[in-house]
Amino acid sequence: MNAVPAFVWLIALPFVGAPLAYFSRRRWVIFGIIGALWVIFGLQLLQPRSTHYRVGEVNLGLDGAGVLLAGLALTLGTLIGVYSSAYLKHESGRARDRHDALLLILIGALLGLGCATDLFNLWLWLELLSGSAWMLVAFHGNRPAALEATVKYVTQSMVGSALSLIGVALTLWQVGSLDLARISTAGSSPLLLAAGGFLVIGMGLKAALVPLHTWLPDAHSQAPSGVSALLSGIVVEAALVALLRLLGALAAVEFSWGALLIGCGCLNLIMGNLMALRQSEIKRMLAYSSVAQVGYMLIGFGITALSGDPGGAQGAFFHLITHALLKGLAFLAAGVMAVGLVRPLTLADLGGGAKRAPLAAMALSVAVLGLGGLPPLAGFMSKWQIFVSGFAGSPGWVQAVVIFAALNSVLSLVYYAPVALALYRQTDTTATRVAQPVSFSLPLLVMLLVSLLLGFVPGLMETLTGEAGAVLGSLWVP
Amino acid sequence: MNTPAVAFVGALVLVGIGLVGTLTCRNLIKVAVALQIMMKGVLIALVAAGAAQGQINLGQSLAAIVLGVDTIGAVILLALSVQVRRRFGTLDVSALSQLRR
Amino acid sequence: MNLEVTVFILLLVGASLCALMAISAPQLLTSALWLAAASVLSALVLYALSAPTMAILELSVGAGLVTILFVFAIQYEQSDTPASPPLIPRLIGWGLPLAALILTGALILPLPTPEQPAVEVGTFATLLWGSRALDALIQVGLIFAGTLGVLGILSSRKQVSMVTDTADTAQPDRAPLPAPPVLEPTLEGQEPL
Repeated sequence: MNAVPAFVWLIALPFVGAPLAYFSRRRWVIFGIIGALWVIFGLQLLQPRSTHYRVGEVNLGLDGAGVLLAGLALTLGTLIGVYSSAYLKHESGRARDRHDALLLILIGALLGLGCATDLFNLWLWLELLSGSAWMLVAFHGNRPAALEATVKYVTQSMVGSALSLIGVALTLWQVGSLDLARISTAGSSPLLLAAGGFLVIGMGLKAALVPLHTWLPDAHSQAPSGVSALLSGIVVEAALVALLRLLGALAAVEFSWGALLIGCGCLNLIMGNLMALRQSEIKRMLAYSSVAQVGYMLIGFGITALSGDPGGAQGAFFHLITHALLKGLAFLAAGVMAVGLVRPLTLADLGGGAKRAPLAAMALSVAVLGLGGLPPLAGFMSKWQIFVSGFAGSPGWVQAVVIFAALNSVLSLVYYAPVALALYRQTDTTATRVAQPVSFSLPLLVMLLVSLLLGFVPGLMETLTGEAGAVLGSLWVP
Repeated sequence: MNTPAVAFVGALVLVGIGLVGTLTCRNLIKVAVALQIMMKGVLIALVAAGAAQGQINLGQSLAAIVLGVDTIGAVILLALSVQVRRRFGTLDVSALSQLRR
Repeated sequence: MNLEVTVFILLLVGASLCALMAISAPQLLTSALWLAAASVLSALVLYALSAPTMAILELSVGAGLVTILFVFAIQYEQSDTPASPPLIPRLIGWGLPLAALILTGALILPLPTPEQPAVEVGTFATLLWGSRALDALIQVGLIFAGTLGVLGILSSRKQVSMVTDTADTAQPDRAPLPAPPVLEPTLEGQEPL
């Protein structure tokens, strides 16, 4: 056993930290652990990329996509840790400890998922990820609606795990190994096609591919707002990245996974947008809009899977980052707006919001307009990158899909814009400014500034998304 | 057909029956039963795939881990069903439809 | 068809029949017992596949522990199964899995026999605790998360509230805040809280 690379500590620490945070019953423990994670992450970034570490037969390796997921998981995790200090102020101590421990496990699962290079290992990380996500959705388990959302999430997710395991078994039957690199050299066979089908359905349930998305709006709207931000911002997308790694290993199979991804992307776009249009609850609308936003990523990844050109995946990864920031920001701001409200936050409640909570109102408006793709906000830049790669040397039908996606982006403004308008409409003259705790304002401010910055300087993420896109692109080179 | 192949087909049938159960059962506990049936099929499939490759112990170790994961899932679902019964007074999943739309 | 294959087919048909009974039994307890029977038969299949360790695990955990848990949950509920039609039309509920099964069968049958039955390296123990040690470790994390979750689900019993109607009166038990409700002035026309 040679020297242990830093990222192994990065993965191991949350699992040591979670029991520590739970049993010590001190809130600073979780911040200490997250701080340590940042230090290790920084050290890892200084080392050369694509280092590997072997545990038994199972390889762990950190590549560009893993770095991107890890960075995003840590950023969101830190901000949501801070945010939940105020958000969970009125919960019992035990409930808060549980929340913190599960948050750490969720972060750990995201870090591990990015490093998995073994089919079964990848499945297990995903299981751990969804396991901790279920339990966070169940946080308000005493509310009937949250209970209902958890039941739907757990049952559908378990069906997905079982189906993807059949895919794992089929792959094992054909290849005799679970190493993704080995599988990619196995060539094409009907067994692997069937395996790919099972994996797409099974993992697609967790990545909310339409029509397997029905759990998402419930789970994401009923979770505590910080958790919703994590779930919508990165958990679903991590499952998507896991699915793409698997499909990359099955790229030799004679089936156009790229066309399948793009097709699902179109379904996601239209379904997510049409359903979001009908919602009056803000969090539920945001959840449906996540279904639509996953559609853009699917189209971007699909373009790469079709041609091996990393541009699409690069755009999709950039969209993953901007979506995580903007959707996270939107959920956190909606959470601030909903403080003290005893029923779900609706559009009608936002009137005069700009007076009561100027920062949250500003954040929510920037977030929804960015998600709607209004230039020059970050959401526009990332969508633009996907569209450009879709036009560059793609067959005609892909260009048609890109136009369809662009039209959908305009359509989405129909439900995004009223949120921003409602916040700044002066209907409510009695509203007075309510002081917000620092742990609310700080994450909002940080995310707001970063997402604005990304809109004006989109090149900032180019190294990160470039490396991540190249990793996926290299899997699909014909 | 050799024995692992027969076992694998049987496993797929079990998964199919479990899937039918999750789609058609209205009672939450019966949904949990159906999920267990799916997982039985998965266990057999994994072990059969290992056996076909002459790596029966690899198949067994994967199945052992899946069995653990699946048991945790069963415990969580049963805990949820206890809580659903308390909140909604029934285990009928159609009572869980506040969020439909 | 030799004797071995016949035994396999009998065991698997038996397990499938038990599974069918389990999902169609009207009583929950009967359903759980049929599940246990299916479990025992699948343990026998595993044993016949020369996976004795897994057979023992399935017998003790799958057929034993899980059945006990089910019986406890059912007794705790004292619940009946409503004899109402399923939410999803029967045609889809049966047709979709059946279609998937046929499609899969058409793709994968006859299952190829892999060319080089590799020589097995290591025993069950060395594989689980050696080669797949990482998976075993992750599972510990999963057990921890699951335990916390179950604690969370079961401990929220104190604030019992029954909400029966579905409209916007939902969730009266949102955590009460000492601060004056921020959005009170905009609640025109809403139910008083």
